[in-house]
Amino acid sequence: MRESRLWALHLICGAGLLVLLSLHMGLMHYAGILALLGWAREPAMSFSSVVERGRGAAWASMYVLLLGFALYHGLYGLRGVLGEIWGTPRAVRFINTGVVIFGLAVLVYGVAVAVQAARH
Amino acid sequence: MAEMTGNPEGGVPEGGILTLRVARYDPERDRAARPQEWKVKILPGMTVLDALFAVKEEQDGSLAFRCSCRMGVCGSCGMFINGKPRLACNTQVSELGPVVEVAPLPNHDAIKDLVPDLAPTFHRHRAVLPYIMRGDEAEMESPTREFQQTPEELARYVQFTYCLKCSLCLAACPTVGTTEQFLGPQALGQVYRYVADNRDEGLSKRAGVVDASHGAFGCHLAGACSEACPKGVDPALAIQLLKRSLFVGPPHRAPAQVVPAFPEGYRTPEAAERPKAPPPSV
Ligand code: SF4
Ligand code: FES
Repeated sequence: MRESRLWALHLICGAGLLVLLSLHMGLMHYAGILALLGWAREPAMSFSSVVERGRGAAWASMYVLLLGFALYHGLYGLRGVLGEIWGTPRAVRFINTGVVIFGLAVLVYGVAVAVQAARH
Repeated sequence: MAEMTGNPEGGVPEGGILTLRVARYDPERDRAARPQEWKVKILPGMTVLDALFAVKEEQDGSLAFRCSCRMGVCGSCGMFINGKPRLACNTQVSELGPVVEVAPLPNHDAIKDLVPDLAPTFHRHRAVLPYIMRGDEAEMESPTREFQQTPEELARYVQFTYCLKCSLCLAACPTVGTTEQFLGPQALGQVYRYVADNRDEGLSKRAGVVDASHGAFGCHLAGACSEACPKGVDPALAIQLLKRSLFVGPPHRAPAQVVPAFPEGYRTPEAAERPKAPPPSV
């Protein structure tokens, strides 16, 4: 794929990460502020909250999205750094293949865990 | 290369004595560059190139450096002068201080003394197809008339046409220094020069080379290239505009058309007023 598209995806994932991480920080760590805004919830680390987050399909999708965004964004950056250290065409092919295989393996594993949790 | 210490730049009056410290390198003798010094009397308007000529003509004829136009046009006298890539013919010694240190351009192999190997620069330049490419090949190969272009359309790219191919921007670029495959600011800047030209339709052909991690997207936006450029070309800007063009297409919507031909026998009003040539007398 052309680099401009890969780079655009990298930016989109960065923006997505920002949104999802803000959501995560709000829900998990700044519940007090949310309560001040009139959105009182169960404490994030209470047993019922943890179980609820593990089960809901919406939560599972959010985890998968977060994982996907983080994986793509991080691995794209790693590929860039490695490609600058070992820039030969052969090394670049090797790095690209390695990064795709690693990314897909982690994504599949992460999706399996989220689906598994949502089913229980 | 032997380490050369920088010196704070400060004016030296004409008639004063300048110490010229040059990184000498002879591939047949040296494994690395070694500094050598000469004293040169500063003459009015003396440039670093003039000082090098003074040494070559009066003190050491074996000193090697490259130049041609001596007026900042050909781009062949690029050197690393007091820690900055500059054109030697464009740099007054009186602005530099009592010690002027000259070395070959960084990020380039030295052929001898101050002569850098510019072949990689020209290879990179050639790789990006730096010429007008059109869909209507017949018209391009055997033009009937010129292609239309307004002054506004010219203004979009004209600053990038001033590039001398002097390679100073490559010498200043940290990414060129660390990443051998990176196309570099000169070649990428020239891609945008053609992409922004409304007579050109070659973006998709060039994208194969520049829409790559070692092409436009390899630029870290350090901006050192634009700072080093002696002609005021802004390659860093060109690369960013090129990235945008790779997403949304060139800045012009349609390629320039051929200027319509005048009807058969048409003469411009000025031509009609011009006196006719007298009939032949012989
Ligand atoms: S962009 Fe400037 S510094 Fe770079 S080669 Fe062209 S004239 Fe020289
Ligand atoms: S000699 Fe031509 S630019 Fe300096």
